[in-house]
Amino acid sequence: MGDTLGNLKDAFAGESQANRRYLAYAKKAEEEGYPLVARRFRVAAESETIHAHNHLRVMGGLKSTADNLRASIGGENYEHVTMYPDFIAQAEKEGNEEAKYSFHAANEAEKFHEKMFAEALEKMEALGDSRFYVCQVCGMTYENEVPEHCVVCTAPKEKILEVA
Amino acid sequence: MATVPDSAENAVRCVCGECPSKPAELKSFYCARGAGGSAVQHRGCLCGECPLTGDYDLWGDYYCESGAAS
Ligand code: SF4
Ligand code: SF4
Ligand SMILES: [Fe+2]
Ligand SMILES: [Fe+2]
Repeated sequence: MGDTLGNLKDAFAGESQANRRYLAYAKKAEEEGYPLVARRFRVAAESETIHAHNHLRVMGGLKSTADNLRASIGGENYEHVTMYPDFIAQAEKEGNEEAKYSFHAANEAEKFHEKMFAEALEKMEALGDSRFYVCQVCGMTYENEVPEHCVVCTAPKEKILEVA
Repeated sequence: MATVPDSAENAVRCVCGECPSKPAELKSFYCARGAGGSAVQHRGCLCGECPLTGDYDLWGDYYCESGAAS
C-alpha cells in the first residue's frame, strides 16, 4: 500500500472507472429488459461519481477554472498527438480492427475537445454561446451544426444529441 | 467504377449508419474503408439509395461484407 496521496489517486481512478462501467452495465441491462437492475447500476454509478469527486478534491486536483482548462488542454493534446496514434498503430499491427476504430473515434473527438477548451481559455469571459452535440454511438463532438451522418461512425443525425 | 475517397464530405453522406444489416461496430463507410469485422446478416443493403453510389458509379452492395469498392 502506498502513501495517502497515492491511495487517493488510485481510489479516484477506481471510482471513476466504476462509474463508467456501471453506466455501461445499466445500458446493457435496459437492452436485455431488466430496467430495475439497470436502476441499481445507475444508483451505484451516481454514488461512485460523488466518491471520485471527493477524492479528487482532497488530493488537490481541483484548481481554478483557467487551470482546469489548461490541464484539460494538455490531456486532450497528449491523447490525440501521442497516446491514440500509438494505440492505433499497435492495434493495426495486431490486426485488431475493433480496437483500432474505438481508438480512432476517440482520437477524432479529442482533437475537437482540445480546440473547444483552448477557445474557452482564450476567451473565458467573452465566450460565445455555442451549442454542442455528441454522437451517442462514437462520441464525436460537434459545435452548432450537426451533419446528416456522423463524420466518424456515420450514425444518423438523430443519434447526435445536444448537451445542455 | 472508381474507388471511393475516405473524406469527411463523403462520410457524412454514407447511409450505412441507418442500415438494418450494418454490423454492430464503429467501423462504417465500408465502400471506402473496407469490410467490417463481424458477420453480416442480410436484411437489405441501403447502398443503392446512397448518394455516393451515383457519384462514384458504384454497382455493388454489401461492402460491409465484400470489402471496399475498387
Ligand atoms: S454496405 Fe450496405 S449492407 Fe453494409 S452497412 Fe452499408 S448499406 Fe448496409
Ligand atoms: S455506397 Fe454504401 S458503403 Fe458506400 S457510402 Fe453509400 S451507404 Fe456507405
Ligand atoms: Fe476528450
Ligand atoms: Fe459517431
